[in-house]
Amino acid sequence: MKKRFDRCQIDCILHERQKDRNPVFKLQVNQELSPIGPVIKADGLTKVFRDFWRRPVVSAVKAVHFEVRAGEIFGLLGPNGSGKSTTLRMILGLLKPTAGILRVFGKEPQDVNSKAKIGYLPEDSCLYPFLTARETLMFYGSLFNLDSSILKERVKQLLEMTGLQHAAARRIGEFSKGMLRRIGLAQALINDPDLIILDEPTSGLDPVGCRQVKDLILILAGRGKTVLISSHLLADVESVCQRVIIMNNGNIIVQGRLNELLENEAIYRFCVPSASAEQIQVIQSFLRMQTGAAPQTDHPRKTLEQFFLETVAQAQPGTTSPSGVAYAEKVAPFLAGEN
Amino acid sequence: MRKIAAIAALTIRSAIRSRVIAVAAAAIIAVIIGLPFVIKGDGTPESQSIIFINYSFGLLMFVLSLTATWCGAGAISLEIGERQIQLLITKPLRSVQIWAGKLLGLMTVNLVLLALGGALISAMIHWTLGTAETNKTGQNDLRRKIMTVYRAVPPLKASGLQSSQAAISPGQSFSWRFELTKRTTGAQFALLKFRFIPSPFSHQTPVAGVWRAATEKQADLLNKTLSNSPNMTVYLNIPKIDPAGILKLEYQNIQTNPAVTVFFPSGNDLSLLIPESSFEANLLRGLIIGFARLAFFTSLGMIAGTLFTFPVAVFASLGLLAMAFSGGFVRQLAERGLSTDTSCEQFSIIAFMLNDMVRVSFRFFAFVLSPLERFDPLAFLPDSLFIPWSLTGQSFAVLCCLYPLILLLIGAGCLRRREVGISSV
Repeated sequence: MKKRFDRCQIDCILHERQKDRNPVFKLQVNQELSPIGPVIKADGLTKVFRDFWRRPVVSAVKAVHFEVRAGEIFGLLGPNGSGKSTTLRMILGLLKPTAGILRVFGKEPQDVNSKAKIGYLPEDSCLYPFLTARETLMFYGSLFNLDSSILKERVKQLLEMTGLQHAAARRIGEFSKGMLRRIGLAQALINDPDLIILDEPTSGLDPVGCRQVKDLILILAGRGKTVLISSHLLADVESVCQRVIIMNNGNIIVQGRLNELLENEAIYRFCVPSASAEQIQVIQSFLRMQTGAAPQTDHPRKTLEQFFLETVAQAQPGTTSPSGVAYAEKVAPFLAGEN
Repeated sequence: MRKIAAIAALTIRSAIRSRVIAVAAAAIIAVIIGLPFVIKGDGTPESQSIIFINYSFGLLMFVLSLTATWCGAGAISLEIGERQIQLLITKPLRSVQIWAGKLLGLMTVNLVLLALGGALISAMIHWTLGTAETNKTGQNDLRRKIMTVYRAVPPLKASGLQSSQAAISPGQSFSWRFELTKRTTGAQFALLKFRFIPSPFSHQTPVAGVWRAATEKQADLLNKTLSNSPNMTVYLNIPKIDPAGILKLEYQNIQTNPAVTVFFPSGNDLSLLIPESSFEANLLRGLIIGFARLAFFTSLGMIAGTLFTFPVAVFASLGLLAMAFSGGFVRQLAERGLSTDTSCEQFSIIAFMLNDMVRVSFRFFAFVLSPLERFDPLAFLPDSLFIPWSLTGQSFAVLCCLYPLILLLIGAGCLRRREVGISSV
């Protein structure tokens, strides 16, 4: 009972906070699932790893079926070795399915035109350590045939958004893990992709960075972008995802909308903005009389994340860390659909 | 094309920032500037120049071939090993674009290093000739001698004999005929280059003989009694060669005490050298052929890097490089196999099978490496022989275009089929 109540509090606070901070969220939460066909469709998707003699060694993914629809934020969850990374890599064309059908934008994952609409943030840094942050973004941007002036503007906006404008001339090899995640995210967004695949997007980021990433995901989804997230940080997934699948041992064991999966319909919660002790007693007596059970009453708590963000914002507004990471607030205009 | 250029630029940046270019450049500078201090020759400017052309150019090509093969092997395999390709392949790129971009980038690196080496060799030769302690006329003669390259005109085949093959007993004479074409117009002089074997073989001192040369219009072009060493280049002062005539060259053996027979074994051992071009132009052609060879080595390295992990790719591609530099050894193994001699019958079956396996494998290697034998600047430059533009063009077309294109298609196909999501194979 107590646990459930805490969960509800978090939902309530997060929902309120997001509504206040981000008007796009309203669009997102009310948005019906897109009538357009699925962005990703897996039908009987199977992956068996074989040894040198072609003998099967491990079945990483076992005939899974799922769809990711346009405009939704989709979570891919599971313990280590559950097959989610293999599934992601098949979607990205890095691995070939052993059996089953996999379509991305209705085509084979290796299709070059489909890849032009995808942005991918890998879990490990797969960037070139000898390039600077700016050169990295320019390089990946140039692979999308972007016009030079547009590319330069996007690089500038992304560096500002990720707070790396002061580290733009530093080599990637000198970056901390958090900075690597930031530049990794920037390169994933350089083409303003329709499908964003994020593998552990908040891993290694400080709470401010995590919040920015989550806000960004919501903004992108608000613009009709599809986001596929694989993460171990369940709180992050819960705060942004609409639908999830949970994988275990290569199988999908749960699939559905997050609200439906987590909602406990047997229990109701009422939130009262302010009331005196007498008024609370009256409400409690009334509820006890009506339901026959004693209602539980307490004060909503802030999340630690929210408390941290408020504290940091008060302590160092607009400052830059010694490593060169600035605490940026603004989302890149081209990602917010401003130009 | 823009995507290929972006990957090429990335490859060049990688070579610069990983200090490959700096190390290779340092090695080139050390080889070209330092080698004459190690190999002294006879101290004359002529021999110093020969050292620069012969040893320095050979070592330059070896260092650059090593660099090209190494970089080629790492270009793809290191990206797979360090997982950078996992991000690259999710971008809208075809595997052929990745391969072509890498190849283009590495070829640019080869070009820069080769240009540096070529410029250094040329500068060192000019410096050596400039500091030679001779008067102005001597300097000019030296420059004319060193800085001129020659077209080799072989003698016309005589009936019943293999090319210029001749055995000349004491008191006898033998003549060869050289066809002079319009290309020889304007030549102010010609060189006669020859090599013979004295009989008895133990005869070590020079052999006395008379060389005579004449054309139909010019009777006494040469009439010189010489004490000929077995390997010799004779300077024939021909004022103006008749462009369309036949040059008749005669050798009279006057070595009677002791009696020595001279034997000119084959066609390559006697030729008339007609001035054709300047040393710089010839060096440029040599460098172009060298560049084409480097493109071939780079592609080979890249193929190995596409198929194997970095250490295996380096081992395989350097093995091929060693074979390429071993010359006749590969051809010999391809033709004859291993020469095993086992008296026991059961071992001779094994030896027979082994021999066949070696022969088949080395036939394949000989086939793969065959263009390198044909297009080798070191067969021309040390002897100051003219490298024809046609040969340069052919080498470029075959080694720099055709072979890399074939390897590009194979490599791109392999890369496309390979599951790069797994970091090692």
